[in-house]
Amino acid sequence: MGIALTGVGFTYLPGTPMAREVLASLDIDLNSGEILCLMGRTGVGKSTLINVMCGLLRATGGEIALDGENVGSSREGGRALREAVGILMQSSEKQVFAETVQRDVAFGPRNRGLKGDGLRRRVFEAMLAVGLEPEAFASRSPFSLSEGEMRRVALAGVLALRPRYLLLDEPSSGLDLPGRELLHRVLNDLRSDGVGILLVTHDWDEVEALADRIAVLSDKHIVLQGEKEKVITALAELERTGLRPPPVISVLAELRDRGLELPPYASSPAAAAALIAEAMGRSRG
Amino acid sequence: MIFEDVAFTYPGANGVPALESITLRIEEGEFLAVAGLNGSGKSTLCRLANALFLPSRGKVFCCGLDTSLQDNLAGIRTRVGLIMQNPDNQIVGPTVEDDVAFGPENLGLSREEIGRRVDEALQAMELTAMRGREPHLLSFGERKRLAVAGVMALSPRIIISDESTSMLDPPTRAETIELFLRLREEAGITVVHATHRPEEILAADRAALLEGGHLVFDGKPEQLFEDGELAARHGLCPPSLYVLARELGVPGFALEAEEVAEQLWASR
Repeated sequence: MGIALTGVGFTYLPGTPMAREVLASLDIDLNSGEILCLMGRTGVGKSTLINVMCGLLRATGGEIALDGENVGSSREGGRALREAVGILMQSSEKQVFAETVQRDVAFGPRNRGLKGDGLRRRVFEAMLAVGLEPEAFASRSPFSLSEGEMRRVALAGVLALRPRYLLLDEPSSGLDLPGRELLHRVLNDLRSDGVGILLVTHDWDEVEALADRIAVLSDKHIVLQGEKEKVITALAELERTGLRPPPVISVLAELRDRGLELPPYASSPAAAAALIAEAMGRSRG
Repeated sequence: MIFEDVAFTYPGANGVPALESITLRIEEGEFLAVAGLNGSGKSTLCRLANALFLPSRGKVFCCGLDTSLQDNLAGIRTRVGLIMQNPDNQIVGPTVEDDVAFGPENLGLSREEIGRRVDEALQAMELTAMRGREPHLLSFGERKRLAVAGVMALSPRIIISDESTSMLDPPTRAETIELFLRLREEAGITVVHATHRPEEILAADRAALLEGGHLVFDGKPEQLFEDGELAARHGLCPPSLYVLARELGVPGFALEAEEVAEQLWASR
């Protein structure tokens, strides 16, 4: 089960002098029950790509398969994608609009025909999932909340649709550490429930904490895609895309270049420190 | 820039102040990082600094000008540039270059001077190739650079950056910090930068930490991280290189991987 894009392209304003090709013959796949981190320089087309993946933008070429079925770039295909895939946009606090938190979160499921107790249950469940106590928050205006809380309302609104896949565009930028930790808990829970999650992020700590796999977008293509460790340690390729590798991994590489026997990867600064201390001890001994 | 026992309360906040008894003196050419959790008062402080907000109590002085005096506003706005969190809140022009020209045009400068400033600002933010484009066709990160260019074109003496680096990728973020450092170095510009990022706090000359509207720390950025408990309470994880260096007993403070590797190699 998953979403697979094969040879997908996208051009803004095609056929006009303003035409701008952003994606070309691009391959990426997102599986159920995994977190795939999408990385790349700003302006490289990450937001465009996830808009194509959720059916908001129609690909100008290539194939899109949803759970093995080609949904192509037809109108119906777009609808199938939008039903299966939830998206949390950049600055998601701007995605909030209703008079109360409860109404805001209810907007999506209500539009899909859910009513009465069923709707209420769905809304409260989604609010609880993001740490918003219904009793305290349901009747408040979302605009009286802090930005971090507004983002949680936006996320609850997406979760209330019970998406099978969830695409998040830099959800943690501008959040403080407690806000990020809460978001990470929510994403871990969703992954355990089998939701396939694509997370756009620039933050290596976040990648280390959450990613199963990483995909890197550069110059219209996915140029690197694979298991977390493999991509993180592909230093030359990362640098070619303009990304700075995680600093601790760079330290390991620098010391390896000087002849210390070290593995290319460590999962934390403390783990790296232990490896380095041991290797330096060996080289002395 | 001087804050003298400043308090600020938002209308409709039931009298709960967003900032209270803030006394802070920022020297000319200093780079101050303002840290604190979401809702601690960072944005309020930024908006008080360029007279978008006026203090409910106390006084704010920009380059010697009292922000509460109406006559000073024009002078303050030409000296203090504010870069906001969300670029879309400060982009107004139909094209990239029109947007950057908007500020200098309103200062009543000559056509040549406006042109010169626009060219310089576009170049500094690597937007020259996109100068004819419509801002809404730019990516988020590009729009962020555009907002910074618009402020740069005003040639401010003080730059207030309200989390202007959030949502940028790490290279662009580092470039923005390098730009701030360069402006301070070359033109003596004062920078007040609100941020959550530990490595950006460490790049500053000085750090101020806000908690619930109070100033709870004012000192060297390194000190902020020395006190592990204080840093943790304010959601500040020390940067990974810092942790690595401390674990291995390397003193000092390096922000680049090469430098840390060099120090470790030398310490064998």
